[in-house]
Amino acid sequence: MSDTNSSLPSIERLVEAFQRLPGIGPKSAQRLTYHLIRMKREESEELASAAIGIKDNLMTCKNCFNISEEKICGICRDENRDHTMICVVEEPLNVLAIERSRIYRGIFHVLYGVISPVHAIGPEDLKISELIERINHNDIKEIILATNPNLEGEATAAYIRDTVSETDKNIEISRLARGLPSGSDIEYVDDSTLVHALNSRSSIK
Amino acid sequence: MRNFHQNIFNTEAIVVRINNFGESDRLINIITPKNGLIRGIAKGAKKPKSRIGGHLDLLKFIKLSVKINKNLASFNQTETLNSFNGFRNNLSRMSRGIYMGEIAEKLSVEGAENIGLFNLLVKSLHFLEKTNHFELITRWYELNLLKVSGFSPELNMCVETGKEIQPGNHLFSSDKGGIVDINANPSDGTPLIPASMNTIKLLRHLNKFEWEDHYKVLVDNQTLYNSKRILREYIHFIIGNPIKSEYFMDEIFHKEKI
Ligand SMILES: [Zn+2]
Repeated sequence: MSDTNSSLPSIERLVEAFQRLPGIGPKSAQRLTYHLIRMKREESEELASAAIGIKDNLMTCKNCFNISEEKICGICRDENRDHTMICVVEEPLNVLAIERSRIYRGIFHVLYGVISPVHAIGPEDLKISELIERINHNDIKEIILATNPNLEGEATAAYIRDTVSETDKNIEISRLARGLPSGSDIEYVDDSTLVHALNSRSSIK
Repeated sequence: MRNFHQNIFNTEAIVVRINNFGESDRLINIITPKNGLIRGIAKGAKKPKSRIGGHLDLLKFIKLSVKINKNLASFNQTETLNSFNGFRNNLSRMSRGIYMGEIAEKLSVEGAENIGLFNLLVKSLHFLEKTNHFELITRWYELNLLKVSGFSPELNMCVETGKEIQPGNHLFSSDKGGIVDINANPSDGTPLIPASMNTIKLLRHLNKFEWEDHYKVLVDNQTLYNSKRILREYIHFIIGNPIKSEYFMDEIFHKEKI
């Protein structure tokens, strides 16, 4: 790869676009771009339209804020699930990880992050008031806090625990993360560990 | 700025900042006794099977191997010495601990030895695990952190006139780093904060004694608030940029009062 080539404007533009993606450095961006140059036109079009498709067709569920193709997601619409049990997670990817384990039959609530004081991310930046709203307007019996097993995940869980306790509802609050390796990310935890963590969740009220 | 004595070494450390990086790596800032602040990368730390990830959580007291590279250091062979589990379930303690870590980070220099600062941070996190005087321990920590960083405020002499401060209500100047006699009347428009007699007494006491001695100290809310305001403005003046974890700490503080 010569510098002359990669400074062509159309190549440069794609390299830069790739570099904005998580986990992609300058070298990977260049490799992907050169792979795309060799790709058939139909393949390129399929890739581009798929990338635009997720923007046009996806939204967040009005109820749980998970990624959805409809206003209310498939999990929230499923009448066979237990709608009195909410599992609170940091990111949509965590819903995927827990769904993969196939043991959980309740519904979810996605926070979109954790309380991170050193990054100036506070409770008001997350979907916490929306969770309280759901609790106040629905018959919820149990909240499972499945934030990651690290200090910020613990702080977020403790904050939600305290806030839910301030409502006059009698809700069981449990923490999922106890059995999980500390410092790890739920996204990467294998299914059997997750099944164990869900089964052995402990009350933290 | 970066002036490390060796390229590869083992050290004790406190983790003060974590950012996710790429697919499964983490960018981590640690404070060490002999090499001050070190910015590094822990490869694969997000993965559950990672041998280092589990030890690299905020405010963990760890032992690790550091390799200094051109840009970021790389962290390996970590081992937890203390997780401070005493405050991991308590928002009052967690919010103060995170703040303690952040101001220690702001006052640490990359590659520069500061054993006093490191020991103070470890010791204060230990105290924080057990105490219920969340505000008082934070003021004690702030004063001692200022001391080990060479910014101890002058609490006995007037920073304007150089004369000894007589008992009574006076003022505090962040610019000049200490108490200004109420009769000194600085002419240069220096911003001044009121410093009540009790506040000056409290600051002197916290500045002078080890933490154990403070369990007996009874402080009214007004004095606590006044000492907080003085130290906060002074620390802002020294550090020069905002301390982000203050907001969450304040939010928790207001909940405590209800
Ligand atoms: Zn939904």
